Amino acid sequence: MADAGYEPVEFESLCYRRIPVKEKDWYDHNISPAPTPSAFQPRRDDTTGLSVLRAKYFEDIEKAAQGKSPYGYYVAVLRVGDLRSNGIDVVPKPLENNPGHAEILGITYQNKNTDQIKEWKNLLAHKLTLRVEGPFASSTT
Amino acid sequence: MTRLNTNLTTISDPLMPKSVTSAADEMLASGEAEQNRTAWLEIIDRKLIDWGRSPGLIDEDGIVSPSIKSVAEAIELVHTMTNNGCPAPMRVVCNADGGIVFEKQEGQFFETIEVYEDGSKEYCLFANSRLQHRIAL
Repeated sequence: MADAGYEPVEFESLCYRRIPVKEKDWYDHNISPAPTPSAFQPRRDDTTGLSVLRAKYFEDIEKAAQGKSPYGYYVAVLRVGDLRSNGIDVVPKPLENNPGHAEILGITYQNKNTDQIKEWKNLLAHKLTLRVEGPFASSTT
Repeated sequence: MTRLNTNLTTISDPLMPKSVTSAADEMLASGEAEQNRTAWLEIIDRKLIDWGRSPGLIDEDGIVSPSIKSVAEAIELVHTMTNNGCPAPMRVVCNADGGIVFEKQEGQFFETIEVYEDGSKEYCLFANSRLQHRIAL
């Protein structure tokens, strides 16, 4: 389908944020049930928003956990409606090879040190993450 | 800034160096103080030295490992905290942008000291995930 991934992100839908296993302690259930807010830190190429994945585009969560890191990923599960209720929006941003790609609007590298983004990262980690699943191994290893 | 600093003296801020030494002196006398000291020093041994061996690398996810400046400042910070008898943090992580974050959670309060890539430091206090205080150190 040519327009796959461009339809609005549904309020009741789930989205995923990958957390690299390689980053020690970004998620460790022995330390805390919540990931660190650093797991939601924008990177240099996050110029329009923070990357997330729309759950409905993946057969299962393990498929969504496949990324570039050979060490694999945990996956933080978030409900889009919860984010919107806290003033944080998720919009479609399909990629050529990944129609399920979306972005949390406004969390960009340029404004990473603003009060709002500091607070949003905290909300995402401590209040809005429903659960963290994994770790999932990379299929390339 | 003055107001923020004044407020900081009235809140529970276990990550911050304590200017009132009586409580710290009591702690140092206990086994708990020794445990804290060990926990702080393990942060140097198990994390900071490791990061210092390969600073500033960008990995396949675009995560920048701590810079040599942030590692050096973090080691200084650990010594200050240890010498002031501060409780060890819950977690110390790379901030994905060349810096290091010390995290502490106590009930609804979440505190961070972030050492940025350029070595500058900042303290933040969140209550119920809402930012309450943010000051440069």
